[in-house]
Amino acid sequence: MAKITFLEAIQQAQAEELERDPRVFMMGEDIRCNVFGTTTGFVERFGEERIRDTPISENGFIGAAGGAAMVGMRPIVDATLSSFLYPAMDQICSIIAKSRYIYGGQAKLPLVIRSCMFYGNSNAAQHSDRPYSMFMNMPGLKIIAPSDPADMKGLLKAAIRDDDPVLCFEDGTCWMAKADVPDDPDFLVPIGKGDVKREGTDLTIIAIAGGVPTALKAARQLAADGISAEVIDPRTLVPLDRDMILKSVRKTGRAICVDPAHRTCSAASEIAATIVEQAFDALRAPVIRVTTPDTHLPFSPHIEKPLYPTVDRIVAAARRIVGAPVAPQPA
Amino acid sequence: MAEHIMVLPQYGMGMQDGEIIRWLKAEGDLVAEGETLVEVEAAKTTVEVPAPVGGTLTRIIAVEGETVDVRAPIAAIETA
Amino acid sequence: MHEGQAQIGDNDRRLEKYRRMQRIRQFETKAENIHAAGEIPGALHTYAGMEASGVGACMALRNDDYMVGTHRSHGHPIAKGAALRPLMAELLGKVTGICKGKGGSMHLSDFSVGSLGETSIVGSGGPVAAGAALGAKLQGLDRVALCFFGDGASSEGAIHEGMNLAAVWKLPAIFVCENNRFGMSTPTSAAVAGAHVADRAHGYGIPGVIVDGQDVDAVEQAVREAVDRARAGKGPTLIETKTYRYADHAVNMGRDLTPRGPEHDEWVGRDPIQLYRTRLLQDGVTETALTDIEEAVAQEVADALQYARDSAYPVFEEAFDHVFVDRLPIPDDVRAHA
Repeated sequence: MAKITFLEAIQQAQAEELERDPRVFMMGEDIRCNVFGTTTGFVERFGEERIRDTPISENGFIGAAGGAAMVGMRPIVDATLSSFLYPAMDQICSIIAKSRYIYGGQAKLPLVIRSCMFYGNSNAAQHSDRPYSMFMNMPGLKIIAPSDPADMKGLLKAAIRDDDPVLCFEDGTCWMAKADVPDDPDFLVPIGKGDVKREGTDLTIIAIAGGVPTALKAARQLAADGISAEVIDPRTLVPLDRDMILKSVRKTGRAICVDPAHRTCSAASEIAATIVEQAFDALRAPVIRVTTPDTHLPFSPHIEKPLYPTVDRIVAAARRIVGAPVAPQPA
Repeated sequence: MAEHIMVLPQYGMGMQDGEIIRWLKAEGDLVAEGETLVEVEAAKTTVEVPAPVGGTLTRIIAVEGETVDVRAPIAAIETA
Repeated sequence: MHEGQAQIGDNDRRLEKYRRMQRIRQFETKAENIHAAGEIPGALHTYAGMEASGVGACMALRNDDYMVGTHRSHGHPIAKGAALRPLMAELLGKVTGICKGKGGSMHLSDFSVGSLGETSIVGSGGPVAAGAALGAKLQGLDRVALCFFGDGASSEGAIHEGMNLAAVWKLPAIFVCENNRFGMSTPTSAAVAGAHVADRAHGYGIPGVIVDGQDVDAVEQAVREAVDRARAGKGPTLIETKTYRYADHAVNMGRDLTPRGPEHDEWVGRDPIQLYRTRLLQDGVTETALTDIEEAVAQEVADALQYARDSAYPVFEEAFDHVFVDRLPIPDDVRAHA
């Protein structure tokens, strides 16, 4: 057990799996020069054949990861920013997500596509995407979005060992968070299992990725006012741990979904719909989504920062649904 | 006379915050524009941050050892 | 004489090429007829006229070499030696189909003969082939990966990204552009800048070869040289087979979308199977040897169709299998009404 950052957790997970399995190799733009610190020492340790710098050709090298996986390799693609997945939608959606299905199980595609979500940092609209919910609408892709160093390491290792394609979304706002992380080389966090990050009784906050630390701060603030919030981190978006979410909402009767993605068809929307469909009888208040509105992200920090889910917005939503019956909305 | 609030700069797109390692000037010292004023560690790299304006360092807002967010105020400089 | 040329000229080998071209033609003729009669669902894109391109290319490959193809998918697996029964069953949407009835006409991909997909998004096979070649290289295997694509796909970025990756990493890949003169209804002259697709190879610093796509021996020769080069670690080659699509983009669509020019009759007059038949007879192969092959193939196709007709349709659960390695649960409301 050692205290390491989220970024160091990524580095460790990859190093351990590269060490463990010769079929694992890495591809991406500028990974040898170790831009973010997730490939520290890799070229020296694993060689240039297994640590490959690619041309700026996302559709090419992400599709090539699919081809390499089909012939028995286990590629890790570092796609840098999640915004750079868009040029590769062709290969991700038409080849990687569908080949196993379309060929009746003849193909196996064990590969991981990592990308980080830089947002809240004046990178403007083309570099601030949180696109996981777009991929949730495409069957055939497992999706992980961890929020702390231990989950990051354990889930990434599980993803690399998984026989299905996994998209790994790494929240930039979590990068520098430090926590105790097991150093057991077989430490894994199972894909598809959520985690109760804080127990509570009055309401359930289901938060995604960087929304989790924000939700935990909100829960601490609410506790000071005598409101007990349970915070759930699904950790995996596909498959989604619906049972854990429903169990918690059945206990508390209230739910807030916190999601840094844009509102419409977000992970929060899917979770809210699940709750309303399957635990309607347990609800004592409307399900609230606290998300980023459906506008683009501007460069200027003064107008960018307030767009994301904040502690204040979560606390306000919690106050609204706890206590007296909710007043009718003004027309 | 005007007070200039100096903020923590952002090095690289992913930088969220930084730790103040060392102030090279004390409150009351004169600083020239561009002169190294403080060392900051972000993403395991130590960066020397220059004074944005010349004048008198009147207040150190973020002390050594403190971790502050990008663009948070770290010092005040009184310009001549 | 080059060793490869000796192999290409080998009598058994030449008869095998003839057999595989016959298989494609007869398989598709049967398929087109039963499609017209409503027995095959969906669209049927036939390969007729292009048989020498696929067979020549695949005869230059080993069984363990990889291949990625296109929506015009019937020819490639047969050219590489796939059995006909699972292919015909797939066309009929049966569970015994090569894709268990989930791919259909555009996706007749048989992984047991080295196929890694017949993909219906134009150009999308390029990166896959580069990746398969990379995988072979990383595993220290001397396998190559061949990517079939059309003249239409030559305008797609994916093909160029695949070629660039293969060239910059010197991967054992071969890119075969089967230029059949039309991208659906659009003639190559209106879609491809420059005289030839093969000319684009120069931009990647790799050989660009043009070959008569109606001459199965010539195609095999060209691909064999590219395969030798790839196995020797010298990187990819782009080959353009000049060929012709007889049928419309898809058959039985009610109207012909393909604008036929005066060259149509000339192309049909250079039918790759008839050309090869004539050559084999001139070189001393007996008429009986060829009719024996034709009749045997007719039997194979009849057998494949009977097998397909006798096979069951997939059970509903199959729709939820192979999304992931583990089968998905079936939602109750869907199951109740399935």
